[in-house]
Amino acid sequence: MSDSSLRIALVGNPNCGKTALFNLLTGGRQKVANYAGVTVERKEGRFNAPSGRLIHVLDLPGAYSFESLSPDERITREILLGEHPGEAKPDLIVCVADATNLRLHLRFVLEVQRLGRPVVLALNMMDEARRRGIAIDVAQLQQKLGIPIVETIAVRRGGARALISLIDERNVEGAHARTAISSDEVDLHAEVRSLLAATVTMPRATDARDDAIDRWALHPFFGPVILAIVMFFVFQAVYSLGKPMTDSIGDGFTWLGTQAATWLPDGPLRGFVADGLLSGLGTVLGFLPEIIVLFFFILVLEESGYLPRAAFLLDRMMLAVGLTGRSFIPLLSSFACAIPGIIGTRSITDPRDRLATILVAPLMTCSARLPVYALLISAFIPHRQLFGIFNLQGLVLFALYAAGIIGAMAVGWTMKRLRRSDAQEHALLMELPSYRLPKARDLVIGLLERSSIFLKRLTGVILALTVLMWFISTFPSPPAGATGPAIDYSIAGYLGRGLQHLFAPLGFNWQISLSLIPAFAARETAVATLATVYAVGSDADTVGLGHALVANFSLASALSMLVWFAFAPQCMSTLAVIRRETGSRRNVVIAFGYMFVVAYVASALTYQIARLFS
Amino acid sequence: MTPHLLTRTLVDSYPESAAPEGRRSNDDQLDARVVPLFRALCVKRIYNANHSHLSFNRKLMRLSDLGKGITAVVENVDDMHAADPIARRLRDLGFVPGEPLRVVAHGPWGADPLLVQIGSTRFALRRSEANRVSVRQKEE
Repeated sequence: MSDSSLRIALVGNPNCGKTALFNLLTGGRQKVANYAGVTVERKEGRFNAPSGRLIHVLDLPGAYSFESLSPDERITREILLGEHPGEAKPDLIVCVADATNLRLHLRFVLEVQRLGRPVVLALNMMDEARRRGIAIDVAQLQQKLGIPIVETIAVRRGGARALISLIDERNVEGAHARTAISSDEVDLHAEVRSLLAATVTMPRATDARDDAIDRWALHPFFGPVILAIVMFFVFQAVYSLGKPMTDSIGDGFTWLGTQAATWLPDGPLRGFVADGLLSGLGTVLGFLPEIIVLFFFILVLEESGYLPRAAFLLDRMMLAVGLTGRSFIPLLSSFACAIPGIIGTRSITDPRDRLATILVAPLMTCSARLPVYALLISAFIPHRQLFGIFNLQGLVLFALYAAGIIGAMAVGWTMKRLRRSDAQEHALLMELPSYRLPKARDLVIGLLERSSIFLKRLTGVILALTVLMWFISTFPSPPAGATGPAIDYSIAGYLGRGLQHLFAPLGFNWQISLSLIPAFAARETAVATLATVYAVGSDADTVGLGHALVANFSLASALSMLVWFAFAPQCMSTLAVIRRETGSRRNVVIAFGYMFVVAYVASALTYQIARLFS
Repeated sequence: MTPHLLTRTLVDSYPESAAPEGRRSNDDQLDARVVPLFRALCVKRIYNANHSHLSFNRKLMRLSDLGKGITAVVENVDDMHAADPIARRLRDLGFVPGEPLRVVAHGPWGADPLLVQIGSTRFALRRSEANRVSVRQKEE
């Protein structure tokens, strides 16, 4: 390593703002949220200090202690001591502590100090501490601890200036480390107590605002009621806010398709642009507003600090179905996409709880399924108000999300029954953070990030699959003298009819059966494929996909398809992540197998029952 | 909470007529409900003071039995078995002898988990976890 560059590592208790500080230092865009365990992997970045010196920054997952047996915390300790293979020893440890919660966080600072490495302390959330009237005698604390201390506000631009100049000016070799060794926890706590008594005055131990909100949010009766209202409101909003925008985007592409059909010469190119690109991709793109609305609410919930409260309220219920309150946050992020959800289960310390959560996470309705739901609902479910406030379409959407959740509970319960009885206890031990108003900047960054992921998927895998689907539904051309529609003679026609034998009991026609193939790579492609197949197969140049669907299959089939998408084995990337996170192929087979069976049975039942009533 | 436990709780926490300092600021509401009860129970307190061999004073209880809003001090964290990781983690999180704490909320089903305020931090603990912590009601 060159003399001029410096390696620093950010450590501290969970949810003290390490990642926010990391983003502020490096201009990074790592995910931040208001609960313990957002960062589950080490992140690396760098920046140039004013002196021109290059500083490498390592952001580590939060730890409460080095002395316990948790694997993450052991790795953090090894990295700080330079004992972790493949990881250079940091020159300076920046210990981050939440200034509003020093009683807990200072203990860890003392533990870090005992590693005998150069340390500086960043007192973060100083703005919050001031708001709550907490007075910290920084000079005296610095003198008593024997390490340099800076104040930081990681959520404010320029809030790390003092830290940067300290790192920049500091001769790291000279930073003295304390070597007094005493491993008794009680001693550490006693030391913290005497430090606090000498340097910190708090008007009250907790934030009055938190207490006031929690009195309602955690109330044994109103707490669950509020939670249900919040969740229900989110799904209604997805529908009522996103839908009008989706419709206008859809109309725009229909118009473009008509234009293209007028201007392009008749032939494969015109078919490709109008049927493949504009109908297929355009339909998927139209669902971006709904996805943005969904993400907006997920981000607000994550930032506010409400999610751990929801986990608290639901813990007992989740325990009954073989999960844990800690499963709630990974499962909620699975509503965006199962992949970050499954990775997020690393914050669940118990391996069996973690595996159970991973196996049910794909049952949560991910945003890629939203286009399929939205399309079928708007085509088949009448737009009607119920009791003056509920929208019937929104209600069906909510029911589908609920079906995923109930399915997950049933699967968790079954797994709990099948598991050999275990004597070992499952722990919850979860910290509830202070409430925080979401920052507009974080919301915008989060939404941009998700939109760009969606657009990348759209122009990558979904585009490729759409082109492929258009190709196989156009070629080969029908033989001379053929009587049926051209598409019946194409590869897609044969493939779809082959698959239809398998899916006939579910009420799927050959077009739906065909759309399930690309959906296995990316859910949204089912919509694009249906759009392409019906556009190619129809005589008119462009027909609204919704009308085409209503004309071609029954309500029973549509309901059955909705149920299929609620439970069916999810996309390949999810299965690949399950393989990576559990390190076992067996779990992939289990996940695929159980979801296929559940989806098949549930769809068949839906179809048969719906037919009885219609 | 069962009536006899409430009795014990109040008797222990009100050795003198004044409410403990920390509670007055945090739980005015609770005090408003508790103080009349306390008066009614004074007779019992005097009885106990005169029959100390029968009294519940100084008796330890489990954190899982501590009533909502009542301040207590950690006496010990007991290992359920050798090298109990949950007990270890509790000690790491600050459940050490002498530390004051308070149960601020109960979960909606079976009053499980408990939300415990210790210092400025709120931890959600299941009853089985809270069972490891023995506490003593705060005395003036």
